[in-house]
Amino acid sequence: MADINLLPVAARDQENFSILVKRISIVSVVVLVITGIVTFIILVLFSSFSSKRSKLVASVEASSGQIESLKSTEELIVVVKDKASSAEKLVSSRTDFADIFENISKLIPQGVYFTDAKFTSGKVSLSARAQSSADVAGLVSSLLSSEGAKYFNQVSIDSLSSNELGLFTFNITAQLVNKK
Amino acid sequence: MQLPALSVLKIQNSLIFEKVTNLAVPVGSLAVSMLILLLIVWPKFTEVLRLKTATAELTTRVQSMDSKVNVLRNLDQIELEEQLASSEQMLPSDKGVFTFIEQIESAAANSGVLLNRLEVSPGSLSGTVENKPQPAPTASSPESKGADLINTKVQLKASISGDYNSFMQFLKILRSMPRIVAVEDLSIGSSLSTSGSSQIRVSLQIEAYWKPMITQLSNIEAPVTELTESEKNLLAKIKTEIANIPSGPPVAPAPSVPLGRPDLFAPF
Repeated sequence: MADINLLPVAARDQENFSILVKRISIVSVVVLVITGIVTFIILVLFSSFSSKRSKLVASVEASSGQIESLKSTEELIVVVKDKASSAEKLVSSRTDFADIFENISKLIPQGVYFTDAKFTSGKVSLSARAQSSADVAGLVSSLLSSEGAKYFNQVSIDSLSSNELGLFTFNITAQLVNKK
Repeated sequence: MQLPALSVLKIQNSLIFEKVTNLAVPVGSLAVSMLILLLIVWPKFTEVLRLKTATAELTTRVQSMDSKVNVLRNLDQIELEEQLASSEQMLPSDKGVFTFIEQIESAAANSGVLLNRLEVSPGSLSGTVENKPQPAPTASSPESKGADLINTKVQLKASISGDYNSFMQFLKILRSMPRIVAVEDLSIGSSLSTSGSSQIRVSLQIEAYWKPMITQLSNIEAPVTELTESEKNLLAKIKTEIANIPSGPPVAPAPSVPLGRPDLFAPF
């Protein structure tokens, strides 16, 4: 048997409308409450950050005053640091020729002496004489040894000649290892 | 049943009015919420975000300034003044050309080499940095020495002669001088003296560095860099060396000479 709708159409519309109003009311209350809470939180955060900022600004001013009172010390340390760091760089980068000569003198065979030596922009040019070819070989071996490599690299003999007395004259070029 | 038309219309109107009033309160409260969110919450929220960033920035500034204050408080003013004196000896604030020449002459005299020739182009004596073209970087030159010192050096070309040991002594004296000097180009030739002993003739370029003093401090919030241990050691070494010099460090920029000459063109 089919259902008999006993409610009139107007009453049903009224009921639907009441449900809609009720739902909208609930949503509006919820939105209003959330808005209130969010507003409260935002305002609390705002006042908290504002007061924190004010305190920090006061701290910056206090620190500035303290730094200002220590200005003479700051000037001294800045000047000393500037000069000392530059001086240190210079000291560590300059070539110690006395040290080089002292150390390579231990590597040079007794039958060899230099007639000319030029050190220009890291390049070394040596003109030397040797009593025998063995002495020349000894010198080259010394320069190429691990000890010699501390001072010179890219060693090459540019010319080598001997005279009727068996004396050898030769030129060596090399690159000076930058001693730090 | 037949109702009068006017009554039905009235009932319908009152129903519509009731519906509108029923909806007005929730819709109105929704609108008010939206207005609060748009006009108060959103602007304040962006302001809070801005304040948060500003606060973080300020916190960093305060921390760096506090640490700077602590560093400055822990520094010993007297020690700094001594270190300044040492650093000034190593890298004078002006060229100090004549002091430099005097030091080279003194080094030559003390080592026993004969100083044959000195050549120097002091340039401007006002102590300003000249804009010379930068030389190409090489193994032993300036690139490693810091670009800030390329134009702040005095170059002196010297010719000396003497025996090998005296020359070695000369090099050692140059290296141990309080002022930082570097031997750059070196040319050595050997020859026999009249007495038959071995002599060498040396041409060399000696560079002495200088650095103008900083005249302006950077930003008040800029951090202060303390001296490293190696820098402290270097300054202490120079201080000891200065103390060991019997006459003390050179103070006058040029040696004192008797003054007054009545005839300006009379030969010596």
